Amino acid sequence: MARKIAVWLGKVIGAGVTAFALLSLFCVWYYNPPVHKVAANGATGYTRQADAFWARATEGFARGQTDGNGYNNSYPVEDPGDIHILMMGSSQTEGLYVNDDECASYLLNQYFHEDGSGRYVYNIGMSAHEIFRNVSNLETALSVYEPKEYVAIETGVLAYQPEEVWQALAHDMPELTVGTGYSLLDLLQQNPYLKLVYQQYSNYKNRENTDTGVGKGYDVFSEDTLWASRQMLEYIAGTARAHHCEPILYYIPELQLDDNGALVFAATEGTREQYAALCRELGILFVDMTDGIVELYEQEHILASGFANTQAGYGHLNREGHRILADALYEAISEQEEQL
Amino acid sequence: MTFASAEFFVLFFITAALLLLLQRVLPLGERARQTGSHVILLAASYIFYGWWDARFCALLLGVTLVSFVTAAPKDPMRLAASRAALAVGVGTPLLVLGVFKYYDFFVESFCQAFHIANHAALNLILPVGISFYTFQALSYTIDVYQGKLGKEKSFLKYALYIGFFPQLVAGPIVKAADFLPQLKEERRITLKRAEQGVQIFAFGMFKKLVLADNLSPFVDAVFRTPGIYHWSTVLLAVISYGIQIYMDFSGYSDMAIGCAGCLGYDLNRNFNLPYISQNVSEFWKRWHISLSGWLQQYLYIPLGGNRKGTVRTYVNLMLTMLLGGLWHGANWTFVLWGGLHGAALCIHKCFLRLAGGGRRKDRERRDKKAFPAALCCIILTDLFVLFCWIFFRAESVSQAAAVIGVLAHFGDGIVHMYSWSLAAIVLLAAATAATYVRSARRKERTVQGFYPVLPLNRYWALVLFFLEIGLIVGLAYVQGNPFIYFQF
Repeated sequence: MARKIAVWLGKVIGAGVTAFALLSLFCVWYYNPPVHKVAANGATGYTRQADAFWARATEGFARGQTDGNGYNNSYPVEDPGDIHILMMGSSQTEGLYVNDDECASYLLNQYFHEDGSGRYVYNIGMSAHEIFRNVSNLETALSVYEPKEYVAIETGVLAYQPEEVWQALAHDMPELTVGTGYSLLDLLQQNPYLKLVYQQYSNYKNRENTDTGVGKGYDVFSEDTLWASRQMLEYIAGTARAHHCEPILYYIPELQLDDNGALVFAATEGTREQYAALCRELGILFVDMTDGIVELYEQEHILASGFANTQAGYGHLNREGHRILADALYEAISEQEEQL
Repeated sequence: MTFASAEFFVLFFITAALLLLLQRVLPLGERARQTGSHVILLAASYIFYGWWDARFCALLLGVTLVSFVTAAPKDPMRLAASRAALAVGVGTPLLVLGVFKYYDFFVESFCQAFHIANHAALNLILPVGISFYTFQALSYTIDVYQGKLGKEKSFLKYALYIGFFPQLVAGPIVKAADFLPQLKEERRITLKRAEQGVQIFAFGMFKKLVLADNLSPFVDAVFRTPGIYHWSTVLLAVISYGIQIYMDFSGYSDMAIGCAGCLGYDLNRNFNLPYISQNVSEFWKRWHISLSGWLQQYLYIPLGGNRKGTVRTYVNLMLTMLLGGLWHGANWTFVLWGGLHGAALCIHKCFLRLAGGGRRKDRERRDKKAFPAALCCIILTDLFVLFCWIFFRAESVSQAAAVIGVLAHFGDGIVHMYSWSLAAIVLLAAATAATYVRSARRKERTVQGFYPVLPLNRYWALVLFFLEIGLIVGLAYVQGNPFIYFQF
């Protein structure tokens, strides 16, 4: 009897290991984002494994490869030489939800190659890097990458809360946890199936927290937020110019489909106009994706967010979203050049 | 708590451990073991049910008590007293169901019809599973009255029959004649049963958490604003809902069957590949079998069934299906859904009559259709069933009309080919094909569904089982989505 049980337990362990290996193999294709690593140069709070293949099929179906710094830059250039435009932003800019050759930065490189200007765009977008964290890292990022023409920073909100602005300007952002690469947890993170399980656990933990912020009325200027926003924009403009480049702010709005099927946004038109006026006053190039998103939806019934395996209109920018972002940035830069 | 929650697994393992202790370790006589097992299971059932709201337990106990006390065989010597007891035994659970589930609906409908302000709404919380245990209590009372079943002497056993947690909140609706005999014999947890039960449970969990739940965000979004989507997307959403509700409900039934099996009890299958039905009558023999059986035995046949002439047969069918629709929920959409199915059943019956379907020979000849003809029948039946699901899923008749409107006018809008829908369709088709192949190999007269139960003493069977568990963990929709049939 004892022998029988021992044999069976042996089979259970062997089968468990085999199943785990097969599941891991499946997840190499299904969910395999590169692990976060410490960013030694401080341009971002962390980066990802360098030169690593990645794939995601949980939100969209995408695959690609990180570059030598752990960012999403796969546009094939033999010798990039100078960086002309540095893009900073969150997971939206990072573009891990579309194939690496469908990401806005890749498309921009393509456009600049096609128009013969030869500008090189470098994308250091990284998940969990909202505008405040990027502003906090701006000085270092500009010192490290020295963009010759522009630094383009993503923003998802327009009316900045004073507390967050002070944190950003004081470089006092909450620490991002990232492994050293040697602990047991870090080793476990190397396995794609365990990454998926952890992602499932995180989603489960945050299952109540699915509000988009749309319709909550928080993205509206008050006296305080207007003043705080001015301080932050002044800092961005000043820092960029101190590093001999022009600042661009591109707004990727939070959106939602209402019960009548109309697109609604977190920020009102008034807020957008106020923000644009503020940018104009400070000489910042402001690129607002809102109109492009609305136009795409109303004319072609295409939503800029959401994927074939998620709810339409929710979540990260999809291929079309990246395309209109690239188009909007390209157009804005071209117009600016013409004016100069 | 639901089957897919951590609390349930804790409760289940504690219950199973206590039962094992009682059955295998403690030196007790058979009778004591049996009683002890029933006490443990009843306590677990009330904890399971009370987890939603402790007050629900009082309601469950009240319905159980009333039907237990009033159930009595028809006594020709004291007919009036027998009938009174039957009226109380049947009327009380129905009254409770009526108050909790239908009162507000009828009052609101009345006020809307006569443009009166509604001040009489009770706004009561609908106790989970009330429709299921009410039907179980009714079946017992009626069976005892009709002499088909002896009156149960033990309240413990009867309370366990009504409250047995694997089937308490969403079925299958168990008839007393099927379950009470199991409580009279000693039921033990065995390795064989556990091996089967765990696999059936996992199979149901995969259907529910991976397939049904991942379809829900898409279906919900399209039904909320059908007008903004392209007709092909709306059609996909309707098909997706057909798969979602099947996977959700049959998944729950599988989990209930698996869970009960682990504990040593048998529950009948509730689904048998409904989407391979060649007509609506067959669909109802394969879909929610325990409900259609209940409706046939306790509603259609007492109404006269097909014994009182052609017109009465159709009237009885319509009535049964309308009430069956209403049983699912207090909304006109469910009544319409039931009515459509009732009408289809009448048309099918009429067709059979015209085609000489009463004779067994003709029936058998018809059943042996050539494959293309059979496929056409399946597709037509499925299209009708899917059309009816629009009413079942819609929150109002106007919403159902909006969905149908987009489909009828080939409306333009967002094209969203949801990948989980496509995956579910492929998986369902593959599983159905596998069942056909198995059925052909076994030379079965009609295609029967089966549970893929593997011998877990084999290495590759264990690998497949662990793969299934791994996929459930990795692919489950974790945003939380209650079982659709809980609301009924």
